[in-house]
Amino acid sequence: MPSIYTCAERRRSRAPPRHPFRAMRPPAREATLGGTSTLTTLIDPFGIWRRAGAVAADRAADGLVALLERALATPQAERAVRTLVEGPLVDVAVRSAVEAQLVEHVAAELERSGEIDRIVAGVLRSEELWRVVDEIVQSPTVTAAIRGQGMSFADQVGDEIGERSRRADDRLDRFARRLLHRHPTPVAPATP
Amino acid sequence: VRPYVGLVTRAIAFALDAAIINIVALVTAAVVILAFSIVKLPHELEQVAKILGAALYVTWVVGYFVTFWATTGQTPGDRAMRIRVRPVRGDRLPPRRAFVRFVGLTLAAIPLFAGFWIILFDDERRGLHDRLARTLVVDA
Repeated sequence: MPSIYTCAERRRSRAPPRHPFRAMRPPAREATLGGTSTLTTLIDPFGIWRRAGAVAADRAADGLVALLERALATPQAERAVRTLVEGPLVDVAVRSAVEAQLVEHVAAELERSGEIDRIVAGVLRSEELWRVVDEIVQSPTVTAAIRGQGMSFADQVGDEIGERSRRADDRLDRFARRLLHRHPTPVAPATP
Repeated sequence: VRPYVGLVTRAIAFALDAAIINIVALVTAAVVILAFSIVKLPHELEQVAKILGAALYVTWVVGYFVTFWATTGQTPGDRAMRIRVRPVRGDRLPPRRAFVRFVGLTLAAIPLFAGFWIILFDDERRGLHDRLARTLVVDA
């Protein structure tokens, strides 16, 4: 099968880049900067300093993230968060929000602007919502709960009917024995 | 608390069983009649089919009670009313005694249900069929 590439293209694709930094350089970036690009080309013709700066910034950011992760994993950080959550600050914040009727104000503002209707309409229009609703309805937990509810209702009805019929049994027994002047039925032991 | 079950509860359980038996029999009969309505049978064969249907119905009724009493001790009606048939001694009713109980049930119904009325005066609430098969009906 003949190749669709020319020899020059094949050679170019095989040949290593002349300078590693040049290969990493984004194309046409400097051309868009006009005069600044000329100055940059003069100071840093191969973009070495710019690349070195970027690499240093990346490493500094990685180091910072690692430091933060290490700090958050320490028991001190955990204790600090617990102190914050259990302390009076959260209570004060909630109380202030309640006293300032923050929720009411936000709700009133949303209602006045008609934003709630728009949000609700948007949510109801979304395919995702109905997919989630379908998923929830068909989930084993929900179906089991519904089945359990149905069973408990049937059990309740059965228990109620059983209780009433047993009371009727006793009443009918007493009536029949009174009718024939027989002694009342003795109470049987627990196991027949 | 008396563990023996009285006449009202047993009558309701029996009515539930009768309903189940007859609904199943009626649906089956309807299907068979519909199937035969498109096939013209000779008169003699029709008579045979009727006798066969009656025999099947009796077998179904007897099989229903005997099977449930001899296996779980509870028909579906008994289960709904939370009652159980058990032998006076032992735990499970043998099939032969379950059959005797069914025959006794039929005999108890013949003289104006007299075999059932004795449940009201028996200390262990036993009917004629319970005495014949030596069974008790207790709370499940």
